[in-house]
Formats: sequence, C-alpha cells, structure tokens
Amino acid sequence: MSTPNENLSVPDLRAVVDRRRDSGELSADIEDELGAHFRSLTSFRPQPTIDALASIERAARALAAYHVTVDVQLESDVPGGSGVHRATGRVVTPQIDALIEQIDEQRDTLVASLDQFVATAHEVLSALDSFEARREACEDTFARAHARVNAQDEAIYQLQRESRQRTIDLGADHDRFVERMRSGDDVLAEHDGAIADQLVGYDPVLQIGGRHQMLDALTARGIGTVRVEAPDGLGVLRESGGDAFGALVVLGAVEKMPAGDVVELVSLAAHKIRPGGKLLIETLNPLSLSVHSHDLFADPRRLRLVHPELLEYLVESSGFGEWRIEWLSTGAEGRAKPVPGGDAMVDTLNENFARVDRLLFAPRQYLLIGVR
Amino acid sequence: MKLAFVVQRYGLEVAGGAERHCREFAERLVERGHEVTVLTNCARSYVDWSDDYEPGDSVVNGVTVRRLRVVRPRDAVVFDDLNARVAWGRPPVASFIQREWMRQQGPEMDGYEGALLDLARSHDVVIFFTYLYSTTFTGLLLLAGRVPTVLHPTLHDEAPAYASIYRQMFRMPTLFALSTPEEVELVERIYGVRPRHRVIGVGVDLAIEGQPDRFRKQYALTTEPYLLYVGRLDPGKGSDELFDFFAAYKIRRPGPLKLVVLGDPIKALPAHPDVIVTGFVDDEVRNDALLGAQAFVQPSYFESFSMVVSEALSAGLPVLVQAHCEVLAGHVARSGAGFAYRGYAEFETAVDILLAHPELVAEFGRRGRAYVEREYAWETVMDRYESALSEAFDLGAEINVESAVR
Amino acid sequence: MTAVHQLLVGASPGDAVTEFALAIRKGLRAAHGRSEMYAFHRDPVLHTDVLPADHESIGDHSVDDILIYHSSIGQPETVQVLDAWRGRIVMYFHNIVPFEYFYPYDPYWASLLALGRMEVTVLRDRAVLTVANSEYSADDLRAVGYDDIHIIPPVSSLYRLRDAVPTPSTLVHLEEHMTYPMILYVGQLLPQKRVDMLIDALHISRTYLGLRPTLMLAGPGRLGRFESLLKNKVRELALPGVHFTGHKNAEDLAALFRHATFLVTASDWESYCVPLVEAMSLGVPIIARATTVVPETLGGAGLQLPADSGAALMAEAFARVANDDELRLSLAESSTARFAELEKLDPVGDFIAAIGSVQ
Repeated sequence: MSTPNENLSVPDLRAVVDRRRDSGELSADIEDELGAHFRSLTSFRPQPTIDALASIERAARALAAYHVTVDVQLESDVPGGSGVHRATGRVVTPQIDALIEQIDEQRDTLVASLDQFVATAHEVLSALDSFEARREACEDTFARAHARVNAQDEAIYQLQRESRQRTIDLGADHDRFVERMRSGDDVLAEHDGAIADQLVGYDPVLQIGGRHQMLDALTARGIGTVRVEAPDGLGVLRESGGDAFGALVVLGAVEKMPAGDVVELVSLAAHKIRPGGKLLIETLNPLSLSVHSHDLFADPRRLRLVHPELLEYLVESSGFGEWRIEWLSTGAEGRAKPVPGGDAMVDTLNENFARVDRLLFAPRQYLLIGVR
Repeated sequence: MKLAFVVQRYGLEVAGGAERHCREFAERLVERGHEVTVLTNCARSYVDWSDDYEPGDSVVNGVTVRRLRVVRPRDAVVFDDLNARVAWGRPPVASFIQREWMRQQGPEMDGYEGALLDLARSHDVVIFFTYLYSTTFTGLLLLAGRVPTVLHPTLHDEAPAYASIYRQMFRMPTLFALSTPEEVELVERIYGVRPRHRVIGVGVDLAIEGQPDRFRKQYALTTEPYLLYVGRLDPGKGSDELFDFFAAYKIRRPGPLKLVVLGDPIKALPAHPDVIVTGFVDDEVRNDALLGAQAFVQPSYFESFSMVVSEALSAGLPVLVQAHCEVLAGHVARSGAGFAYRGYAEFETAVDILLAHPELVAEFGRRGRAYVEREYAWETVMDRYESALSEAFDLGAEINVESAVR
Repeated sequence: MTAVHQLLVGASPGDAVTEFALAIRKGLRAAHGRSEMYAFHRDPVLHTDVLPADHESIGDHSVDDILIYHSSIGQPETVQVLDAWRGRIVMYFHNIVPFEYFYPYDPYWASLLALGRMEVTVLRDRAVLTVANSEYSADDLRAVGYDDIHIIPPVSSLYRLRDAVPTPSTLVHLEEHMTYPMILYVGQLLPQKRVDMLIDALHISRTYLGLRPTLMLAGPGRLGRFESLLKNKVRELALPGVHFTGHKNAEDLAALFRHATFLVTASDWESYCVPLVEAMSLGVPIIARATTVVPETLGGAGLQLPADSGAALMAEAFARVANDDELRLSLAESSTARFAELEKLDPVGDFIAAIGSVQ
C-alpha cells in the first residue's frame, strides 16, 4: 500500500516555504519572532497573592452570608390586638432580641468588610496609576534614547564624510618643488625610461602616484596604462577584478599611506596582477639618514618611511614568487671629503668617515620589483 | 528654506483630503519663495499602491517630486484579515504583529531609507503627512534627532489610531502641525503626550463664484429650498443616517424641502422623491449648488478638519453638523454659523429654525464668512504655517517629549 | 491462587493509563478472581473503585502475588510501597515525559518526572516481567539495562468513539459556527505537546496562506499557568477561531471528529498518543510531526512531517490538506487502513497472557 507520504513529497512543501520566504511574502524570521514572543509571555512571573486579595475574598464571603431578617411589630390599633401582640411578643421577643444581636454582629462585619474592600480597591487603583505613569516615563525615555542614537549616527556620518573630503592641497607648484630636491630633469627622464623599459609587454599597467612624465614614458612605449592619484589607488585596486593587470607601478605613494593600507596594497596586488606580472614599488629609503631629516619633511603628505625588508616580507607573504631591490643612486653619496695623507691612521679615519657617509647619504630611494 | 514633504500619495490626479492638503501647502510654499521637494511613490490609489506614475524626479507646479517604486502592491487578502485583527481587535496585540500589519499596509518603497537620509541631509525641515502609513512610521523613527521634523497627523478618532506602536512615533516629531484645537486633545488622550504644536488648519478659497440658477435648471428644481451634502456616499461618512433623518423629516414636515447629494455612492441610497443624487460633479457645478443651498449638512462622525464645511461657510451657508464629531462641533462653536445636532430631534429642530427664520440664515451666513476669512484665508494659513516651520527649524533636531500626566 | 493487582500513581477517568488498567483489571478478574487497583491520587469519581496505595489497603499478601506497576511518573512513596511488597513485580513502562518540559512551569511536577526515571532504574532487578507500551519506550528501558521486553500498546477500547453517539447539540453548534478547515487537536494542554507550535502554524496559515481555519483544542489544561499562557498567546496574536474546549466526553469528541477536516499533533514528545488511534478509528485524516513514538503509532498513516519541522512547514501542510481534496481523501484512507491493522491486535489479551506466563 503506498502511503500518502510517498505521493506528496515533504521536500515539495519545504520548497514552497523557502520560495515564500525568498520572495518576502513570508517574513524571514516569523518562527523566531513567534517563539520569542511566547518566551516573553512565559518569563513573566506574577507577583505572589497579596494579603489584600485574601481579605477581599473574606469580605466577599461575609457579604454572601448576610441575611435579611424581619422585624416584629408590638403595637396594634386593633382592639385587643396589643394584648395579642404582647402575648406573642413575650414568646417571640427573646427570639427577636437574639435576631437583633445577630443582625448587629453581621452588620458590623459587613461594614468592616466593605471598608476593607474599598481600601484594597484604592490600593490596586493607585498601583495601576503609578504603573501607568512609569510606563509613560519609560516611553519618553525610549523615545529620547532613540533620537539620541539617530543623532549620534548622523554625527558619525558627518565625520566620515569630512575625513574623506579632507585633501591636502599644496598648490600646483608643489610637485616641482619636491622634485627640485631630488635631481635634474634628465636624470629623472632616464629613471622613468628605465622603469618603463621593464614593463614592455606587461600591459595593462596601473600606475599609482608618480608624475605624468612616467605615464608619458609608458605610453610612448606602447604600454596601455591607467594612472590614478595616490589616495585613490587602494580604492581602484579593491574594485578591480582578479588578474586584471599585467603590472602595478606604485611611485612615491606608500610613504603617504597608513601602515594598514600598505599591507592591503601588497596583498591586493597579489590577486590583481596576473601570474607572471610585475609589481614595482618605488619609495624613500629609511636606511639613508638624510632622508629622515630632508625628504621626509619636504612633502607634508609623507607619513612614514617603509623599510625595504618590510616590503620584502609583505611581498613574500602575499605569495610573490620572486623579488629584488634596486637602489636608486642619485649621486648624493660621498659628500665627505677624504682626509689627505697615506698612513694607517688616516686610512682608518677615511674608512670610518666613508662608513658614516654611506649611512648618512645612502641611496635616497629604492625600487622593489616583484614577480607574481 | 529648503523644505521636504513625505507623503504616501502625491499628484494632480490624486484625490483624498490629506494628500490634497499636502499639495496645497507645498505649492503655496513655492509661491512664497521656498524650495520644496516631495518624496512619495508612484501610486495613485491607496487600495493597492500599484505603480501608476513614472519613478524618478519631476516638477509639478514648481514642486520637485521624487517618486520611488513600491516594493510590492498591497495584498488585500493578507492585509484585510490582519487589519481586522490588529486595528479593529482588542489590545494588547504583540508588537511584532503590529509591525507586520504596518508592513502589509504599506506603502513599502524601494530605497526609502536612503532617499530619506539624503532628504534629511539636504533640507532644513522634513514634514510628514498622516499618522497611519508606514512612510510616516519608518520615516519619523529614522529621522528623529537628525533633522527638524514636523508631523501633520490628520488624526481622527478611529480604531487604528489606538494601535500601541504609534505611541513611540507620536513622541518623535519636533513639532506637530494640527488641523484643529480638537486634534490636540485627541493626541493627548490617545497617546498620553502633550505635544509641542501649532494649529494651522487648511486654507479655503474665499472667492466662490457660481450661478445657482444654472444648477436648479440642470436638476429640475424651481424655488424649492434644499439642504446640500457634498461627499462620498459612505456609511462611514454618515450618509445613511442623513438619509434616514431627512426621510423622517419629510414625513413629519411635508413641504418643498429637498436634499441634494453631490457625490459618488459607495453604497447607493434608496430612491426618494425629494432626494437628488448627482454623482461626481466638477467644481463649477459644485459651486453653483453651494451658492443656491439653504444650508449645508455634514453628518460624518469622523473628520479631522472637513474642508467641505469650510468651503460651505465661505459660500455663506449655514451649516448643520454631526455633534458627535468634536471637530465639526468645534467649527460651529467657534464660528457661531449653524447647529451641531445629536440625534433626530435636534436635527429636526435645527431644520425647522432655518426654514422659519431667514434672518437667522443670513446672520449665520455672515458669521460663517467672517470666521473663514479670519481663520482660513490662505494668506493667514500660510503665514501661520511658515512661522511654524521656522519654529521647527529653530528648535533643531531635538525631540521634545513630555508625557501628559493624568 | 495468586492474586494480581495493579499500582498506579494517579487514577482519573479519561487518562490513558487508568483506562488501560481498568480494562486489564476486567480481564484479570475474569481469569484470576480478585484483582485490585491501587493509586496514590484518586479522582473522587473512582474513590470506591480504586483503592489508596497504602499499607492498610494493600494488607496481607503472599510472595507469589503479583503487583503490576504502571510507570508514567514518579511519586515519593512508590519505592516505599514497592519495598514493602513481598510479592513479585511486573513493570509496565508507559514512558515518562522528560522533566525539562515542566521545569519552567511547575518544578514540583518536574521533580516527580525525574524521580520516575530513577525509580525505573532502581526497579530493574525486581521486575519478573517487563512490558513497554512501544518499541520507542522499550529503547529507553534497554538503555538502563532492561532486556526481554514485551511490547503491548495501551489500547483497550478501539471502538469507544466509533460507537459513541455524537451529542446532537454539539453537532448543531459545530455546523453553525465552524469555519473551514476545522483543525482538531485532542490531548492535554501540556508543554511537550507543543500546542504553541499549533497556534503559530495557525497564525501563519491564516495571515499568509489565506486560510480561515477554526482550531479546536479539546483537552484539559492540567497545568493552569501553562494554559493561561496559551490563551494570552492567542489573545496577543489577535487570532480568532481558537477554542479551548476543556475535557470532552466520548460523545462530544465523536461530534468534534465528525466535523474535523483533520487531526493534528505537533508534540515534541509522546508516550503513545491514543488520540491518533481514535482519529484512525473514525477515518479522519492526520497531520503529525514524526517525533518519538508517533511514527510507530501511525505506521504508514497520515501526513508525517519531519521531526525538525517548524510552524511554517506545518502551516503549509494545513493549506495543502485543506485545499487538496484528493490528498485529504487519500489520508483518510490511510487512517482507515492503519486502523484495520490495529484491530488485529489484542493488547489486553496479550497482557493477560504475559502475566499468565510468569505465574
């Protein structure tokens, strides 16, 4: 015998329920809401019975026990009637006295019960009133709290917007001012050319930061390039698809980024550069002390120097297969003049000076070249 | 000022008291030099919110109208049952059920929260119309504390108003804009708040012109006096009661008096030789009818302002209104331009007096006219409104909550 | 001649354990002459019929006499009474509700349930015969070391509702006031029965699936606070059409079943679920969550929903069965077919025979 369960598949029903939820017909957490509501009912613990309620009960019972009795008239207008009444009264009066006693007792109990009832009713009503007042006070408090949360949310939004908008505008001449501290135009052109030569065949190239001259050098070699300003670089990388670029060239940018962004940049580069593609990062060299006193401060957008070993570490842990560092000599080394003379002391002095010289005036920039 | 209105329907073709009220204010504010944006949806009908207008921005009489699509049209099967259970049922109803009722009532608009926040960040004051719909509910809860808000509740004493989720909402606006002094008391009574408010009212056209004879000719009336009722024929509007009272009057007071009914029957009235039902008519016919009537009748139990009564007063008509409706009784008390009747006996007495005392009719007409000129001339109303909006702006985004202590 | 008696914790009319014990007693008296029922709590109606479970009533007895202990809940005095019993003990395990269900509402009742489980462990070595009301219950016994367990379902009056004449006034009332579908629940209003889930499913089917059902909850609310909670839930969900009928006699139940579109059970846990058998005896369609013993009782009958199903799935099942005539008919037929299988059983006879085997 086939059972109805075979004819109607329960997965069918489940599928219908899911469809209703997905389309928004059935609100997604209806079962949770119903359950939470029931739990909120069950968690309410009623107060233990107050004494007043017990006394109301007693009073109500006393009321029920109240009897009405009749009074007996002793006077009469009928001749001889009084005599009859008196005779009857002699028999009945003790009973009536007893009845009257009972009535008095019951009346006192009754009055006391009613008083108690009224007092309790007052208590209950005033408790309700104060509950009502407290409830309304709660509602006011919730309303204010809600508005305050909204106000704070709004303040945060405004702050975020302002910080995004905060750009440092140094004027059109600033770039040339910075470059003046480096070297002459032909040296730079050679430098741009050298980098661009390494990227032939690696298009599309994303250039983050750096000068327009670099962009020109790349496009002159037929390399399809997109250039974005340093602050926008990370955003563009985030939105690009995987393996989107043949090479990523980051020039004078990482020293302007917070540390976390540098880490993210390298890690994104590993996904957005296609296998075999190149990552070029050129930045100031912290191993040259003059950079710390000179170049770091010339451009207020520079935040921190990035150690070459740190970059190597980041590149390695992001999964780049090979990498190397090139020191960009700018001819500023060897400022110290050698001490003349040929004996051992002079030689040692000169060696020491040379060492210090190298430290002070080591290459001002380095270029990290990584291959995915 | 840069002002934003949020309303559940908007458009030249949209009927409905509160919606028309909103549009009048919006357009007149533009005339006074303000920049006005209205955020609304594409619906023409509140029955199902189905998309009728195109989404996106447009300019209507100088007002920028931003329309959002409705996420889904109202499902009548689901909503009608929930409405019967929640709005017309017995409290307490679990709040998540009330929120579901609100959601099903709609209109739920696509991208509403984002659009509202944009509005709040680019305008000086955001103004919400009608308490009932989720546009106001979601909107006030989102914007309270971010930008000054004004609420026109257009509240009347009806069952849905008592749903407890509104209690929080009525504590949120910076300022209330109310139609009548009676509305203040109603807000206090239902929600237990003493709201910071201004009574604005609704403006009325003071230059009503027409040709009463043209109307009489069109509907085969000669010199018979007639009582005039303007509005839908809907038991909720009291039309059944008016018909019964009029029919009874005709039996007890045979005479030439007629009842003219200008409106579409939702529920048709029985035929009666002295009752003329015209169906929907245009403004010209309506003005003709107004100017030739003996008196205007408003039998409705539920009104938040009753623009037709102010129009009748503007036309110099005495008014006979439902005394059970506090708003209508309030108009009569403040204008002294007619009677508020409670039950048939008072209705009969009032009509008797009006028919027997033409000098009283004239006096009522003068008083009514003076009342609307004083209170409801558009210039006056808009002055009041502008001042209220400035007050809201000065108050800032704070909410000012004060529970009414019993 | 050995006497065979029975010990229950509570005896009340309408209770499944009591009814089965009364049926067994009839058989025992026919077979063995004297046979008594003893209970710690006795409904006043049964005061003359069922004796108090104390030394005085139990009195003298021989070591051959048999006492059948119906285990369904604990009682502090049980072990004392059984210790004082010098004769042999037969364990009939009706299964015991897991105490966690009762703890939030009545900690004392919960502690009795926990006690009951402990008693079962303690009595293992004294039982000369072990009977369980189902395979499902038997597994619980096996887990504490029982073996050689006879399975005898506690069904004694298969035709009780079929033979009852439905109360005419109830029938008329139902005809006038019931909407379609009429959803029937028969059982006590206790936490493990998940009447709250039935109410949730009703809410979902009404609000979102367009049904306008009536839900009849036919059974006593022995746990007062819990019943109030259910009523509050119905009130706060603003759900019309839910009726708490209280305990109903056979005639009224027959009328309810006559009008029911289907019977439903959402229980998390059942010991046997006699109302399912009653529904099957009347050919009424069944929707059930297939938890614990329910699949065993139903066999192939009814629309059995997975044990992890919730209110949304149950609501969908309500709508499907209400709207699909063919499905409903086929479910009714499955009820009838299963009942025919159950008719072949003779639980009382089997029980008497099992007793006979140890005498």
